[in-house]
Amino acid sequence: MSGARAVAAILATDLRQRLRTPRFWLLIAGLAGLMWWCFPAIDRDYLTVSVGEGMRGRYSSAWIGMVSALMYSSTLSLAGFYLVRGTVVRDLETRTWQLLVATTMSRGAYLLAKWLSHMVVFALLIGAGLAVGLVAQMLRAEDLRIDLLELVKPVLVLTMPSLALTAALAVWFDLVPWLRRSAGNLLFFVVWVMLLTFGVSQAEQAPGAALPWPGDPHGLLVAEYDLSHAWPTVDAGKELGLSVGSQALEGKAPVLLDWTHWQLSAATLRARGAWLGLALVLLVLAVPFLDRCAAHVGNPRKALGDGARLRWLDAVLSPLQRGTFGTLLAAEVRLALRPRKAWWWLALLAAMGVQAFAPEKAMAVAVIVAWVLAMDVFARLVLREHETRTAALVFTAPGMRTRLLQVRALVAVGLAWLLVLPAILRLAVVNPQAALSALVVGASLAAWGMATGVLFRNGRMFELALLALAYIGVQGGLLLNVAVAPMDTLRWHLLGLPLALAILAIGWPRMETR
Amino acid sequence: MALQLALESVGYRYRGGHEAVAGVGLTMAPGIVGLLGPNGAGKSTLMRVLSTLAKPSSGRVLWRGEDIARKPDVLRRELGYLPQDFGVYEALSAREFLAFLSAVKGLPSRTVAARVDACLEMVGLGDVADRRLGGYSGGMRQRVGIAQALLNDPKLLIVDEPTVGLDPEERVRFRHLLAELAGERLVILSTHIVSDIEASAGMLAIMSGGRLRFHGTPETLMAQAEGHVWQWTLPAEQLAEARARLRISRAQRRAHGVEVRVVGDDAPAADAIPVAPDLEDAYLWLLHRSGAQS
Repeated sequence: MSGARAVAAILATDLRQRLRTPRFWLLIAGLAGLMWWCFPAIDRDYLTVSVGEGMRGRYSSAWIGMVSALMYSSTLSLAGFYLVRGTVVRDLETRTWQLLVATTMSRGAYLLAKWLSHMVVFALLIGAGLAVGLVAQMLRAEDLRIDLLELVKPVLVLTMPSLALTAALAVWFDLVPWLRRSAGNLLFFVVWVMLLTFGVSQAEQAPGAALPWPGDPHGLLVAEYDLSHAWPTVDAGKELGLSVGSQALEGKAPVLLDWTHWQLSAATLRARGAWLGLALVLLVLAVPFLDRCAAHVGNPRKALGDGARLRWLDAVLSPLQRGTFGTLLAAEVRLALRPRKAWWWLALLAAMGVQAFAPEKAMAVAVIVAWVLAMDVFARLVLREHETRTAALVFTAPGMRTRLLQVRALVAVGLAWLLVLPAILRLAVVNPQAALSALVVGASLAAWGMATGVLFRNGRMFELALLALAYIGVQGGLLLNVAVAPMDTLRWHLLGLPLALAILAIGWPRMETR
Repeated sequence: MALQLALESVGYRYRGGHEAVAGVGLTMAPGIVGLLGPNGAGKSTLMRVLSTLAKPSSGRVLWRGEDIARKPDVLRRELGYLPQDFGVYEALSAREFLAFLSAVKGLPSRTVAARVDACLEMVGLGDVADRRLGGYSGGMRQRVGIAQALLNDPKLLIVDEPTVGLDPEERVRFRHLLAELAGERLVILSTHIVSDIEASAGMLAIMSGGRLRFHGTPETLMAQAEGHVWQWTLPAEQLAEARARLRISRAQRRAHGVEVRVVGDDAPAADAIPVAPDLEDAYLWLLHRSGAQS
């Protein structure tokens, strides 16, 4: 009984903490707006979830629920991680953990409360989205019968296991010391992409075959399998592949299919239950590690072991330290580079080698990799005083805000260019437009990293955006891949740059001076 | 312009509406000013206003006659500030961190190395100056904080609860250091521990409930409490009841009972004898009186 009370208390406190930030409510509003976009009117030129080319379900409660479930499964399982993670770390870093650990509360109850807290946040976001879906159902008026069970069923069956897994991983990534910050954000993105790819590959290997058990964590395979069985005769001879994501109709009207009831099979329930079970198993497995992981906060030995002394860097930077500006610059460079581990330097060396000698396609990927390696620098440069509680020491010096911003902008842009220097030099000879694009993208990343830090007071949003763009870039998409349509990439970044600079100019003087 | 910090009806209201500081007016000249007050009195908020980290919601703060809300750099050039709660860059050594902060404060480069060494010696960290701050104990970090506040040889030194985390020996050393530093500079020492300031502060400012309750010399404060402090010996078993009923500034166990010093308007018992107040008694008397008034 006292365990349940402890769980409830932690859960309630955690939620209070989250719900009292304007950021959370802005996100709810943003996602609700996004859900509205997911249910376009019949005369609009796009679809968000389709079965086969140009086909979608009529807007019944079941279809609205299915679209919501698929959108949330595929997007919130990624973005949600960056949203919810950090509560365990906060307890550890604020030493609240030391107060909690001295009580009779069990470790399992603590982790369960944290996991539940993540799930409640997800539930609130999804609830707002479903409400928007219901409004869309009524306003689009394609099927006016409201069936709340059918509306909620896909979310419970498809989305909940997917998000349960995300929530469990968020707990794990908060526990493991080296995953608590940018490295964890990067690794989760890789894990997410792998899980998505794993799901898609199963579908490709087994067209029309039985549901591969247990399918993918996001439920896309289950949905495709069940939907294709619901409409077996439509458009004979064509595969009814499920497509999640914007699809242009190019002037054609969408073909509407009736789908008002999701017939759940035992196999589907077992498959989804397996993923939910996996999430709970992961959570249980974390319990024995909690104390050991919690001990890794503020441990002097850890701080001492963080990165190398980098004596060569001291030698390189010593000429700078003859002037005040140079001393600041040198300190910023040291603070940016010293925490790097050996693997980081090796990875950077490899990326630079590929930039210098590999074919252009591989070089473009290596450029993206190099920027991703430095994403924590871009994302957290303006947050240093906030994170190390040194604002009162630094900002009480004359003219410091302006000088520090200048130094940091220089470090960020310099680093962004230095990391891709081999590529820039090569491209300057063979493809000057791409070289110019690399320079502009580098400066843009530096500016946006600092701007989002100022805007959100954490680095996660920038890291998520950069990882998503990196993924698109590796697939050959715009914005980070400087070898693909360099002038378009350059134009987009030049368009965005003034906004980033404006955010920085307005937000930086307001950064908290704690 | 003379070295002077003047507060004119300074108030600070947080966004939620809580008024942390209200109508504080006083003028401070070189020497050590002890800012005393219970927890939550508004001392730290006032310190943040004085160190230009927060702008007053009302009133003005003038340093050498200049409004620091309009021209913060006039004060910042001469400010040394040790906040109550601060962090350090754990990847840097103490020497590197202080060199960085010297550059932040705009110290001439040629003087930095010597000044950093001198400040490290002053706080007794000379022999561990090249160790990373991540490996420092809480007390050592506090000493780094004190050292950084002294880097620019400040004319205005603001130290907020500086002895928190220091062991008794370090505490004594810090008090001596502060006494040496005072002279041609203004030192504002904020604390809720009376013993931190009784040996060194020439002037006192006492706050409670966000308001200034007293500004003057320790002698004036003690004179105000004259006739309101009693010494009384009572049986040990009556101590709990006495604590609930009376304002007891000190209690010492003796062979024949517990000897207490009581602050109040009237004698606690017929056998209580009036005694001369010390600073702790006077401070408690003032809080008692201002509590009764507000």
